[in-house]
This record gives sequence, C-alpha cells and structure tokens, in this order.
Amino acid sequence: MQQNFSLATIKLYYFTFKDTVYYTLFVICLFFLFGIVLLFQIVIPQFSQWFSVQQEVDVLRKDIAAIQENTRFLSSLDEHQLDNDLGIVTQAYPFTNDYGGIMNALALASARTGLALPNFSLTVGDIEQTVSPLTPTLYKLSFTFATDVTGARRFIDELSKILPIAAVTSIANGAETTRVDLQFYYHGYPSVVIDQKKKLVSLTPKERDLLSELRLWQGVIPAIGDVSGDEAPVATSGGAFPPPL
Amino acid sequence: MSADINLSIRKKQEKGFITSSQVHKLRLVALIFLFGVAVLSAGLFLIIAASPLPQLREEEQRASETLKSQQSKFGKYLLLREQLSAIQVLLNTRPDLRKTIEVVFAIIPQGLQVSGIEISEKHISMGVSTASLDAISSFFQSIQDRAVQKVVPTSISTSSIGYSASTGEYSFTITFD
Repeated sequence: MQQNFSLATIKLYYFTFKDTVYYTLFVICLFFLFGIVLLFQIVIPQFSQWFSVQQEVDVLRKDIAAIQENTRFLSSLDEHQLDNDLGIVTQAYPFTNDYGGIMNALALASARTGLALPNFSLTVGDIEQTVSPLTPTLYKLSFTFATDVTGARRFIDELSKILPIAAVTSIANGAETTRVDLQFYYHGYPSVVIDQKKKLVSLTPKERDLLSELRLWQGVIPAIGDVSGDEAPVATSGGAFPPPL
Repeated sequence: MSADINLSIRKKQEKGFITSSQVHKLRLVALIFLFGVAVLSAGLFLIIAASPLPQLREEEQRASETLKSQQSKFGKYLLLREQLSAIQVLLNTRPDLRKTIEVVFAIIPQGLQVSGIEISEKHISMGVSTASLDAISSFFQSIQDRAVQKVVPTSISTSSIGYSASTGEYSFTITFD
C-alpha cells in the first residue's frame, strides 16, 4: 500500500497518463472540485456576511438618525421649562408622601371656600415603606366641617383643582356638620430607562392639555394662619394645626 | 501488457469515451467556473471591505456621546411623560363625588328637606322629610326617571315612611346601591 502512494508511483502515473485524456479529465475534475470548495467554503459565507453587514448598516443608519433626532429634540427643549413642568407633575402626583403639599392643598381649598379647617393631624407612618411605582398609594384623611353639604361641595370643588391630586371618597352630612373623607395619592419612582435609540416624540395634545390644567391647579399657597371661615371648625382627629410651610 | 503499449487501440478506445473537442469544452467550462468563483469571492471581499460599517459605528459613537451630554434632560423628559400618563390614569380612575352630589340634588323637588345625606362612590343614602305628599310623589317619580336613564343606581330601597303628628311631616330614608 505504501508503494502505491509513494512519489515514484505518482511520478509513474503522471508519466503514464500525462498525454492521455484521463490526465486532462483529472485536472478538469480538480478544477471543478476546487471551484465547488471555494463556492461553499468562501463565496456562500461571504454572501451571508454581506447580507448581515447590509442589515447592520441599515440598523446603524436608523439608530444614528434616531440619536441625532433625539439630540435635536432635546436641544430644542427649554431646560428651565422642563424643570418647571416636572415640578408640577411631581407636585400633582408625588413620589413620596408629600405632607407639606397635602397641608398646603387643604389650606388653599379652605382659603378659597372660606371654610375653616378643623384641627387635624397627619400620620407619618412607616417612612421606609416600599411604594409601588405603578399603583398609587393612598393617604387617607377625614375632616368634619361645621357646614352643610353645599359648603362641603365647594370645598371638594376647590380641592379637585389643587395639587397634589386628591379625591373625596365619601361625604356624610349630619344636622350641622359634614364629614368629608379624602385621599391623596403618591407612588414610587418609576423606572425610567434611557434608550438613546428610541425616538423621542413631543407631548401629545392631550398631554399638553393636562399639563396646562395642572399648571392652573398649581395655586398660590396662602399662609395657613390667614385662613378664616364663616363656619366654626369642629375638631375631628386630635393634634395641633401645623405651622405654615 | 500488449494492450497497454498499443497506442493505436487506446486512441480508438479514447475516441469512443470522449472526444478531444469535448475535453476542450469541458476544460474551458471548468476554467470559467473556477475563474468566476474566484472573481465572485474577490468581489464580495472587496464589497464587504468597502462597506461603511466602521465609519457608521464611529458616527454612532460620536452621536451617542453628543446625546450623553443631554442625559439629564433626556431623563427629565421621560420622567415627565411617565408622570403625565400616570396622572391621566389617576384622574380617570379617582372617584368624583361632585357629579353624584349634582345628580342627588337635582332629583330633590321643592318642599322636600334633606335631613342627612351620606354619599360614597357606590352608595348614596339620604334622610328626607316633608309636609307635602305631592313632594314625595314627585321625588319618587324623579328617581324613577333617573333610574331608567341609569343616572342613579337602579338598586333603590326606602325605609317606611313615618309621620310625625307634632311637626306634621313625613320622613323616610332612601338608599341607592
């Protein structure tokens, strides 16, 4: 067997067949074989590489366009205005239990309606409590005003146009007083993921309207000591009225 | 052995197997095929090498660096949008008793006094008193109309109507659930 594949044997085969058609056919077969190997090992992978490069180029072009557009968009934004807007929305729906904001809202509603706030206390609670960023956490309060339903209704009307956002969950009117159950909302910090390649879009008309409305609700906070009303306050939950903020 | 050295016979056999012109054609085809594959490979290599991918990567890097300088603005804007959508949801879902109060007071006719009222999101209860039976009748008619329009809850119950001889007034409690 070894002799079959020795150099001498190969030479012998070469000189035997070099002038025959078999040699030419052998060389032709080698050419075809080489070509096929090249085709499958190099050309076809190159094709797929070319397609993937093209795809990557397309993606990169889109990404660059998005990043540049985002840069232009952000450059066009007034940072001062953005800070103001962010301040308003944070005041409307705070990330923590905003006791100061709650007291200011109550004082403002009271001042606007001329309805004196009764003594009240705010329970601080567990300040390390984990707050969900998605669902609102409620802070509940209850007041008993020395007024009828109409007076309470005025208070509710005003409170609904003041930040932070509050809701009245129940009203109970007795002979001379009206109990109002309120709730304020707060939530945890949402997870804001900055994706440079995601195209930023400007605020929708609905969002702009909401922001304008919230701006209107951001009233001037009166000094709490100035709050006076026609009706005498009735104490519900103990505790002194807090000092002005 | 004699067959191996007899060139005349071998040539005859070769002629029968494949002609010389066919061999030439085949060789030409093989060469063209090999050349074509080589040219294609070289061409693809050049196309891939000349692709703008590295420049685009650099451009993306530069654009990204530029945008990073506005990172804080970016975060604030995203937070603003998040907050606005959360507020929108909150405003849409928060209970609004103002409408309920409006509806309740709209159905109370002249001459009927509300002695006490309790309103929550899904429950309304009120005590009423009047000296006029017509007012009571009008009140019930009004409630019936509103219930048909689904403006007030359709589950309505009333206590027995009491009569006080000292005041001459009828009184009862009505509850909507």
